[in-house]
Amino acid sequence: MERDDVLEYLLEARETLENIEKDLLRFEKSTLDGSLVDRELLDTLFRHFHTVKGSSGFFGLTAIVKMAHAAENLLDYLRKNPEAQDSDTLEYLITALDYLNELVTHEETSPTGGDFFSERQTEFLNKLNQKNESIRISLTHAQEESITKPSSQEFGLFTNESTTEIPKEEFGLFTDDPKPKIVEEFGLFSTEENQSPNEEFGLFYKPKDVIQKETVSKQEDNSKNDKKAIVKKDIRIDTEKLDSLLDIVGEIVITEPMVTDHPDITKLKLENFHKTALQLKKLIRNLQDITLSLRMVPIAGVFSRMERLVRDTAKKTGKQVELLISGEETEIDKSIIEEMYDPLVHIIRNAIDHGLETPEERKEAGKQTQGNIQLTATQSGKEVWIEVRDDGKGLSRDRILNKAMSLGLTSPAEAEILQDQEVWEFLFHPGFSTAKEVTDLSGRGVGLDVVRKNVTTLKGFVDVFSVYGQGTTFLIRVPLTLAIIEGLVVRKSDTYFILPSVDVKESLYLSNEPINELYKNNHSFQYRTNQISIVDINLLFGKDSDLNDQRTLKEKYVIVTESHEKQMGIVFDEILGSQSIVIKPISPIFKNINGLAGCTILGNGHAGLILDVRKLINNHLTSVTI
Amino acid sequence: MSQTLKSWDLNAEEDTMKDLYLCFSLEDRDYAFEVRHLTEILALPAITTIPGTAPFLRGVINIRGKIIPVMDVRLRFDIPFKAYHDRTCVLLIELDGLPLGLIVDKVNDVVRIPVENIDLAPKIGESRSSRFIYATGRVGESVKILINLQRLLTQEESHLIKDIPGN
Repeated sequence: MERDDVLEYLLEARETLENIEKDLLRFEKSTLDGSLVDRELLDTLFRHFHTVKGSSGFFGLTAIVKMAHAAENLLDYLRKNPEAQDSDTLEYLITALDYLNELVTHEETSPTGGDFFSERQTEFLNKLNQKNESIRISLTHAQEESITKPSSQEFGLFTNESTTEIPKEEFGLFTDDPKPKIVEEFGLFSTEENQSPNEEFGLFYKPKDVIQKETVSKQEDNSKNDKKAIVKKDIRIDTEKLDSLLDIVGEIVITEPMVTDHPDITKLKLENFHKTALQLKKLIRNLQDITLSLRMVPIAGVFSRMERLVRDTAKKTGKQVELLISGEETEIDKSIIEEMYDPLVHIIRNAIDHGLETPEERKEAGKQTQGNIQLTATQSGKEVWIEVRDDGKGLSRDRILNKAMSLGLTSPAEAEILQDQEVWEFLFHPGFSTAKEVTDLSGRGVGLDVVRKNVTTLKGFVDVFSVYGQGTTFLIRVPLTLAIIEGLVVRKSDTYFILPSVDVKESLYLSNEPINELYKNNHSFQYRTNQISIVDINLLFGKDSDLNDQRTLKEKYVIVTESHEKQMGIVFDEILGSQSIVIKPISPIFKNINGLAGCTILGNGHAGLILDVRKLINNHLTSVTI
Repeated sequence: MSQTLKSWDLNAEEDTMKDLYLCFSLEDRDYAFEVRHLTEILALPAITTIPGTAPFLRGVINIRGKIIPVMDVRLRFDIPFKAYHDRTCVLLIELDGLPLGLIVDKVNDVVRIPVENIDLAPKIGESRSSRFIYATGRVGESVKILINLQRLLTQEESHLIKDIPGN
């Protein structure tokens, strides 16, 4: 077996396991009120486990086969005896799923013979098999009593088929033989020790040939449908290929103006050429849009993984939580989505652990005992906003301020006049945790500062809003894509810089405005009603400012940039205009460069430097105060 | 099939590249490094200077859509800066998968220096620029200074780069 094939299969298996998780959580939700689980859901779950079992058998992954087989048996039992379901069986299924995930991961990273690799796994399998064994006995009794009821005979993949003509029909994957011993023993790999002699090896247990035929044709129909669905879904592409495609398209976007506005032809009168050039421009724009969209995937994948997190965290903390997800179809760059997982986990855990009250506390506060967490994604221009809103007790200004003062971040006098928004900012300070004690869930030193750091590397922002007693909202804003940004191209002597458009507030042409020198390397100028700091690029990168020698900005441009409501003017010689920029990384040879976000190639063939305005402002304003 | 062809090619290349050194000059001294590191020799394109870095890292250049950092070898060796002219060259090399352009005064030729003609450099103190030199190679009457390309980029340089406020 080729290793690549196995890896590809494992990826598929992972998808199936994700589906199982989703369905198991649905299972749990739908049975919370004591109602029985939907038959269709059971069938789907059964089918998923069965798929995993069958394909894993094909690749010789016996451990996965055994585990999936045991889970399948349990589900099979539930289908026949829906009244037997309880939180215990569900817990079994969920644990089985966890072990399957573990096995798949293990197989991906350090392939062994495909067998179990830890005691716990075999232990659990034994427990699960025992469970099956014990319920099988009770099933035998139950069946003996109810054997006369024909309705209980009809189950399997194709329940709504008109197969009742042959009442004793036994076909397909799931024989409904009343003797449960045989029910247990089918499938690719039987895990039973004492195999009964009449065991049929193979996928299909076939007592009658005629029926077998029917089964096969139905099976084919079914698989046809499945295939169609898969084709519609997606195809897997190597990200490296995708990246090089993006690179090339990026090159084409850049080269296009180099060709169509080439200095050799600009003086010529070429009406037809310009027409076709315009057409080409349009096509390239389309090409760019489509290639960029290739990397875009819906955020649903990450969101649905939160369901499980909420469930587990709620269980551990003894709180009742409902997760309400919306906007999961919002698309966002795949590389960003992957980076969103950890911050979301952290915020949601916090929301449950610190934000939401216990059911008793909620009752006292006149709220529903069940807390809500709303997880919402919306697209806003070139950003995606991800909001985590809980209806818990909200942030305590006093507690945060006390903690901030104990850390020496603020003084009592200062604390008095701070706005709420400024108080919440302390939460993002490294080492800041208001948790009274370290719990299993939080307070392990990984704080919101890490969340903010993660999001900032994605050129995003995290903000927190809170009303005491009513809840807390975390808002993460990230760009749609990392590969291309809109930027303002400017020049300073012979170097071209790009300022990301989101950071630019205004660009001004100043001919004879006075600038004030407070002391060396510290200048300000009048912008609207404020005096704001004004700098040039030299100063930002650790040299002396050119502004020391001039009192006025003669024929210079000032770009007013803004980050976190702090403003700063940067002086340039020329503004070349705004354009889409393909971001390329800066060579790691340049160590210690703080303030550049990357490089790009401009239409004129020069390399341009993309400024990290947020960092520049922060660095500058902490070293200089006006 | 393609696999075997590749490895055969590699061997052949190794063989033909063996003992071959590219020679270039700075001031009146001749330096050389192993030719297998070289990808291309270019006339100096427009350099985009990167503020806030060590002076010997002149900036980046655009080579057919790739952005490649360039280093002025004179400055790296603590030889005073000399204005670039039309014969100034960029030697494009690749070190551990990292592309880098070396700005040198003049490229001379490729010479064969067999191992027996190479003498490890005598240790004369730990002067800053002697770190880049590992041996000398005799070619006829002349002597080439053999440089260790890896050393050009070692970690120890990072703190030579001027500290930027806020770093």
